[in-house]
Amino acid sequence: MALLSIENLHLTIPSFEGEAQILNGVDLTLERGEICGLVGETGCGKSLTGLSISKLVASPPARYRQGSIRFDGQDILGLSESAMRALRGRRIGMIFQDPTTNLNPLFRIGDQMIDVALHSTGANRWSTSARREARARSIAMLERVGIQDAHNRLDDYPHQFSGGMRQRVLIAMALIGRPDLLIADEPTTALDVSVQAQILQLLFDIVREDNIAVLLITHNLGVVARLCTHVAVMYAGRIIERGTMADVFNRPRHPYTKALLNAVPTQKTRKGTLQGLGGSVPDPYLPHAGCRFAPRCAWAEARCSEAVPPETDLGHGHGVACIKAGDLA
Amino acid sequence: MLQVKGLSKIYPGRRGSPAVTALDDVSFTIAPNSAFGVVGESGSGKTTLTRCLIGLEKPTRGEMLFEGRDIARLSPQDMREMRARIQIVFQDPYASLNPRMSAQDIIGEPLLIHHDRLQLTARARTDRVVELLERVGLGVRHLHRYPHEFSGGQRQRIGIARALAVKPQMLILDEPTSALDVSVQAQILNLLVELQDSLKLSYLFISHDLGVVRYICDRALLLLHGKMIEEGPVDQVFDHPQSDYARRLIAAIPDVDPARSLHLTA
Ligand SMILES: Nc1ncnc2c1ncn2[C@@H]1O[C@H](COP(=O)(O)OP(=O)(O)OP(=O)(O)O)[C@@H](O)[C@H]1O
Ligand SMILES: Nc1ncnc2c1ncn2[C@@H]1O[C@H](COP(=O)(O)OP(=O)(O)O)[C@@H](O)[C@H]1O
Ligand code: SF4
Ligand SMILES: [Mg+2]
Ligand SMILES: [Mg+2]
Repeated sequence: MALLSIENLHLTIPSFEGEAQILNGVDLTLERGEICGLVGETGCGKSLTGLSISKLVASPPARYRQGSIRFDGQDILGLSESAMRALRGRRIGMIFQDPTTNLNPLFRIGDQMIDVALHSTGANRWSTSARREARARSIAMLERVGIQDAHNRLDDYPHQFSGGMRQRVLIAMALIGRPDLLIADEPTTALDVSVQAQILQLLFDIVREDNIAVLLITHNLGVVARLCTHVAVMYAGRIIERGTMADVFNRPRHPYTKALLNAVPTQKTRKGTLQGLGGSVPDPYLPHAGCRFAPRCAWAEARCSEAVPPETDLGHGHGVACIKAGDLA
Repeated sequence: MLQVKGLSKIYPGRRGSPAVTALDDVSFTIAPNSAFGVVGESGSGKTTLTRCLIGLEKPTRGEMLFEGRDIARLSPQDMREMRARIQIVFQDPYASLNPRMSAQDIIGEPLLIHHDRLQLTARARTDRVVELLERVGLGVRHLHRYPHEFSGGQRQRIGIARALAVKPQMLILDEPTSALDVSVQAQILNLLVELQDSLKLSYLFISHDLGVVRYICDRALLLLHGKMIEEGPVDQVFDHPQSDYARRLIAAIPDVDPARSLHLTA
């Protein structure tokens, strides 16, 4: 059984404009040792997929109308908040894009880290021996993510750390409970290339040493190509193509995946020849039928708008949700 | 268009800490209608350079000649006029938009600030705002929405539309696409290329995405601790870098080729 398996997940969020259909049948599986890149344009539902796995979408008002999320056999959507708190930070580690989950500027790095460490074992936070043990684990984890002289830096405040160091601290916090699954939403977006390269190497080493699974949410396809073993491409709340990195990046079959890959300037792209992708993602408030990529798709035909294209398996788990999946080499 | 000669900026150390040399003898020229890239790790002095160019910081030494006149020696009146000719696009889409203003107000604000010169009617301003929204991949339905109703990517598109509003001659783009999707990034990059062509714009383009700099820029400057490490045509800087530092930086650039995967090279 897969460590994580999401099946046909539908999520709606009400607002004064009506009911937004945020997730429209997400299918995704993740095994230990896999690093799956979840990519797609802004607003397509990547973050809400990640938040759903940790059951952090307030519901109500949001509603899961269909589908399931199973983590190591447990039905996440059926779990109580207290059962969920036991999973978060222990079995599921998270680094989120939402700045409110980042470091609090008013508290010392060490105190924030030790709180997370205490939660991860469920230890009594007022026990001196538990705090001492949590402190030791915090230092060890900070050193593992490359913070030098960690025991002296615990008393520092976040502003005394550089952006790359703060990102390492967030990774250390997410990993201190030794989770089986790490959900990382844009973990390197704000970093420059050399720091980004170090962080990617760090994540790669941790996955190999601890055999954990990572869901890496990013819009940077270069980061995915460098780090991921698998890729899931999302559009309008659905995974429209998924498979191994080599299948999806070297042999993309969905028109949307092809368009995304063509939009990245490479060494050889001459000025003015970059193939942009026209149009924009559909508004989740508007009603729709059939393939939601059709208005932007160069291969669209009338029948594309009749029914939602089912996923076709082209072999080895290379799934493509396009009626022309087999024809578009 | 812009000539920077021997520019240095030293921040005096506060409370006993040593002074910081943020820029150290930097010189370059941006020709009219060309794009100039500035690349460097964080803390290398990129933002200090832009702050000097828009008059927010006085350089310690050196000159910045915009069409022959030193930016550091302009009267407040001339500086105001200069600000319309050099517009800046900021990096952080969360911090740079006023949460209490609608998209229409945010994008239209520069049109009001420079009303003396532009003389647009309210109707013409709205039309221009709609045109700008469409150019950055949004539309008329977004006119009356507020920043919190937009995703991070959409907010950045609004910041770019805002900078384009007064049709400046030079744009300073500080990491303008780092928060954008590749699809939008491609649209924006193509838009920048097209605008540069049609409006004869110059760009000072700051980025840590070397692929993007290479795509957009004619020349590039590599900074390390405020010093120039490489400067020249992009092909020369990226294909035949002279320094080890430049070679390491270039090797770290992520690129969509799976052949450079850590899994394959480990
Ligand atoms: N709390 C909310 N209430 C209503 N709509 C929301 C809410 N959060 C997100 N949305 C909408 O849900 C859709 C998916 O948002 P999500 O944040 O998951 O996108 P994303 O792919 O992560 O984008 P980005 O890369 O910009 O973060 C968007 O249309 C967004 O406007
Ligand atoms: N107001 C300031 N006072 C003291 N030092 C500063 C100030 N602003 C920037 N610096 C220092 O100048 C150097 C360059 O900073 P900056 O131009 O902001 O870098 P970048 O934008 O490339 O990240 C850094 O070492 C930074 O810490
Ligand atoms: S189903 Fe039709 S519209 Fe959708 S991606 Fe495939 S060809 Fe294009
Ligand atoms: Mg997101
Ligand atoms: Mg900066």
